[in-house]
Amino acid sequence: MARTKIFALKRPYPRQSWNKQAVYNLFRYRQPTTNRRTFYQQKFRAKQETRRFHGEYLTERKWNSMFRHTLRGVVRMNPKEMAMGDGSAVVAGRGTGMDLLPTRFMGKEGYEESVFTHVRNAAIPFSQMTFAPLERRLDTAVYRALFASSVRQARMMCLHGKVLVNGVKMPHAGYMLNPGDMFSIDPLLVMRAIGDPQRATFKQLSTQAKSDLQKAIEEAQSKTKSSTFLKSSNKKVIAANADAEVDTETFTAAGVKSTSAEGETEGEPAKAEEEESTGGKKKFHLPSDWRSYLPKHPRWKIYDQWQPKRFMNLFAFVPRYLEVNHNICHAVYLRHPVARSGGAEVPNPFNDEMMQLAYTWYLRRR
Amino acid sequence: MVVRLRLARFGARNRPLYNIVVSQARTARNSKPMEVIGTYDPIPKPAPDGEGKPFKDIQLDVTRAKYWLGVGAQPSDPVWRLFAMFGLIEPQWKIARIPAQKEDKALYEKVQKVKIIPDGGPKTTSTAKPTPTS
Amino acid sequence: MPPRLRPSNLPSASNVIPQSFSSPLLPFLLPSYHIYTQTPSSSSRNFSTSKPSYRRARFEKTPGTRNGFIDWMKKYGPKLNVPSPLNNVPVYLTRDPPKLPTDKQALKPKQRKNGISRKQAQRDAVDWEAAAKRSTISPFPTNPSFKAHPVISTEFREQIYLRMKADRSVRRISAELNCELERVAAVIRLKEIENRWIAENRPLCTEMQKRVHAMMRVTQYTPFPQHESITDLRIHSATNNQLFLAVPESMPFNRKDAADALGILPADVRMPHSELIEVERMKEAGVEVQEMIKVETEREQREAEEAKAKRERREKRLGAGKVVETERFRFRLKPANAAAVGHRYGVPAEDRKRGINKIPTRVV
Repeated sequence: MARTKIFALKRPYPRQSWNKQAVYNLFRYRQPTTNRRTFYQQKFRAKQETRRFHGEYLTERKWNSMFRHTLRGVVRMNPKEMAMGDGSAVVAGRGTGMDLLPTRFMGKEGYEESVFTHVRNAAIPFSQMTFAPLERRLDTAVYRALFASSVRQARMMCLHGKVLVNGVKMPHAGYMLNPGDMFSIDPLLVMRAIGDPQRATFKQLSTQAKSDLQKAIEEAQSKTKSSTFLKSSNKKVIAANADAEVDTETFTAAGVKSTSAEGETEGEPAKAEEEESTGGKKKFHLPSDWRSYLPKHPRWKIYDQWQPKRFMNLFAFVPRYLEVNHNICHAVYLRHPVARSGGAEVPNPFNDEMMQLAYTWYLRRR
Repeated sequence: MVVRLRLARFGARNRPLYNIVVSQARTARNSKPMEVIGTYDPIPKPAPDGEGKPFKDIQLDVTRAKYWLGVGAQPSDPVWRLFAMFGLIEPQWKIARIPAQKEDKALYEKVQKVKIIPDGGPKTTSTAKPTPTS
Repeated sequence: MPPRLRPSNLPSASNVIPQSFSSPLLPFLLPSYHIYTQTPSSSSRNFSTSKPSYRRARFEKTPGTRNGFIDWMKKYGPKLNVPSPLNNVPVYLTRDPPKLPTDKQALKPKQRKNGISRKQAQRDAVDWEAAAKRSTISPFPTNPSFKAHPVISTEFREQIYLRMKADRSVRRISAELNCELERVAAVIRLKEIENRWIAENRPLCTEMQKRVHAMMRVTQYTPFPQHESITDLRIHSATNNQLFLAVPESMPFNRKDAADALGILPADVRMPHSELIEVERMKEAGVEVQEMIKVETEREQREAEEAKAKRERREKRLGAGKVVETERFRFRLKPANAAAVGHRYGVPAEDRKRGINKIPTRVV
């Protein structure tokens, strides 16, 4: 994957991310004008700009192999109109000047909202569908379903094996979704990805959740007798004399603290910890991966106190070709995206002219 | 030389797929066997309707398997286990243990949990009977 | 030398650029200046001696520096970051983000209750009804043609699921609630998983769902909701190319003839919910409502039977044989033919070969 400064401030380019610099750049972005440029230059520039947004982490070779010159579109049909005629009246007199407007329908009963006049009014923006093949990619779909705050993050989720397709782990970000495929991610991961990064500390958990968590961790440790547990218990023995060391990983009211922070402010948290431990039976070791025990516990507060990530509202939309359920962090890829009169389904910050130029570039008949 | 019924490993790294083969006992694992009579996919797939246990697929030509057993081919332990599911031979470990271990309640219950669902469909379940076959 | 005036009758963008290209070849066929002509306003810029304005527009007054970014964050950050809008009013990016309409009376110190911060009071005072009127539905300011489509509300999903539970077919639910067939099926699938999670006592992210839905347009459930078009006909690739066919002027040329000429099925068959045509026809003929319902239920029954037979055939094909259930797994035992089973010998496995796609193309 190309490691570029994708949020550089000097030249604003739109990127598929909710990053604050990305928002700043998207805000300032103006599409290039084409004054005094040859057609080739216009096309090249359009390709450059659009590719910076669509799959910038893919090599040009990879994208070229995905590009298809056929673009999907749909036309809205009117069953009433189809019931009334077999379509012959529409084409009658083609070529004699009568095909400009379906005049013989105008004013007739049942044809006030003629589907033909409708279609003629708004054209189908096919050029907006140039990058539609990218929407089939698993990582892009995860981002579109609002399960990740950028396509790169979604890609990382895939590569780390966090995304399931039809219940099976799919570690390929480039998996092309088929209509009807269901993909899912662990809700905890999604809540972290699109949530406020100020995560709930241990202190913020409810007392019930705390005791549940403690029980779960103790149970897991006693069951597995894992090496980490042994290590931590050894550490406990070794560090029995050095109080500061013990504090680093203990179950304090103030939550988990890093060793360095503990060393500086030793007084108060230690007191709090004492109070806590006198209330409970004995000192409890909080492992560093304590969060991984949490999802099993319904009372965990993040489920009730989730906050969206900054600027999420600017990107909060789900395209029509997806059906998303955030309750369980599952989504279904219904069908391939299409263009229809009045708008294409591929989210895209570039206007029709620019997309037209980019499309023409990829036709490879420069 | 002994003729054995055994598994030959195919597939890729971390993605095994076995052929159930009939071959001479001393030939190499993946050498060309006398006959391939089935496959066994040990990687569990999630249940199609999303609930219930994951499944594993076993394909077997039962008539050929019966023939080879009849002429004295000796199944390896894993193949024995698979054949027992088809009801071709007696489950190896059950015979030895069940009568003796009946007082070992945990083990007995574990054995009883193995259910065989008849051809009618996956809905109706019946407990396997440890009846010995010849 | 004085600047020469350009002829004003140059083709302008508005009248030459075709709004859409039905054929992918069309842009190539057009001469280049037709595709990308200068708009009248931009052509006038050639006379001016000052710096071209697009450069100024592109790298605005705020220079692309860290300080500029910090200034921007101070100025626009609070306007653009609206984490909890109400009434499903989307707040998308705009060039000149307006201040959210607020009820100034509520902001006065006297009105403010104790214990509520200034920020919170400001948030509470936003008049979301007024904000809804002026909100944009296009998330990208540079491309107003892309519009965000609403999603269906959780209650709507519940309704779809209840109808399925009441033994209504997906087709019928789709027609009743104006949702695409695929969407109805997907909603039911997702809802089943959700119910299973509830039964397993797994936590649901209801708060996240609520907050996410609050940020976008949502179609609420009403007795006759209008969510989306359900009769969208896919444009067949065979219709992209021109086809010259001599037809006698006196002969009618209908949809079926056109489909025959192109070698595809007619639109009446290809359209999703093609049964609605028949319904409209019956309506036109003045058929009794009871009779129409009878015809429809018969058709539904027929379809259900066909689907059932198909499913059974599939099950028979896939799952013939026993299932042995152990503690952890179900073993599906399938009969096979020794002549045609198993991995072949003597053929190298090409799955790791260069140039062969390693990514699976489908799952299960």
